[in-house]
Amino acid sequence: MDNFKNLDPLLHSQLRLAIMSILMNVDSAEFVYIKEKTEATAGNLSVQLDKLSQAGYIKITKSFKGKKPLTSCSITKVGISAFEKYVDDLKQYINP
Amino acid sequence: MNTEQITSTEESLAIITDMIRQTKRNVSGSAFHFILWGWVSVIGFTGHFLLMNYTDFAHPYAIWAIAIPAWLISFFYGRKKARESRMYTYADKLIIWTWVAFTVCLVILIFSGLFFQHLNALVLLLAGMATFITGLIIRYNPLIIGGSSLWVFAAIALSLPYMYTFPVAAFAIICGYLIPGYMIRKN
Repeated sequence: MDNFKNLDPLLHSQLRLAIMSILMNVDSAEFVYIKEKTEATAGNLSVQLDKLSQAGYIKITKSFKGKKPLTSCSITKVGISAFEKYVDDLKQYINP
Repeated sequence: MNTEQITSTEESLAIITDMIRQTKRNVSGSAFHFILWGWVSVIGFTGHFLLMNYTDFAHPYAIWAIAIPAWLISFFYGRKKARESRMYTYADKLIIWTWVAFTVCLVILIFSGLFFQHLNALVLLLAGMATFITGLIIRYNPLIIGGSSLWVFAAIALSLPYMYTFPVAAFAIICGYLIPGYMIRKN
């Protein structure tokens, strides 16, 4: 793991990187959509979304679709910068 | 997928590319709007032409009332699809606002009452621009070509007497909306 010490530890995890990759590509996505694409469990996904939200990487919006609660996520400017830096850092490992 | 740490750069890249591939937009929904508005426009231009030239009906433009239910169908279909998709892309936003801008320009042109002689050509010009931009956003060449063809037909319509701009506009819409619309649906 020491080889990757420069990489953002928050993004250097399978599920969190997948969530950020999805949100980089869309304006906003519902919780169910992210769950379907990442094939994560609802509980685990919820915990990881909270971690990314607490770091300011994503914004979570809770509303209602009809009578059903709806959770939508979108990436923030901080999140975009962090993701871009992660990809740049990754390039350093690929092309040292 | 779980919260395990990534063990190689290849794994990171695989996750990123896989998620980008999975969030690719399905553009087949836009076929519905092009086919709907294609037929509405063809019926409108052809009906207007026939009513104006072969009947004594005093208000041939009344045929365009068919655009009202079409607009409602378009709106509710778009809303239903947006709800079903559970995600919203930048491309969706750009396409929606391009057509909102087209509608605003169209309404101003029509209700100004100033461009009666060239109205059909101006409508084709604006429709060409919106179709061209939509084609670029969804990266679909038949739509880009269809949008460009509307500009060519607009130039032809500008050189013709008002009466003949209707059949030109109807044919233009077949090339610019209907053919690309059915091609998107088929693909």
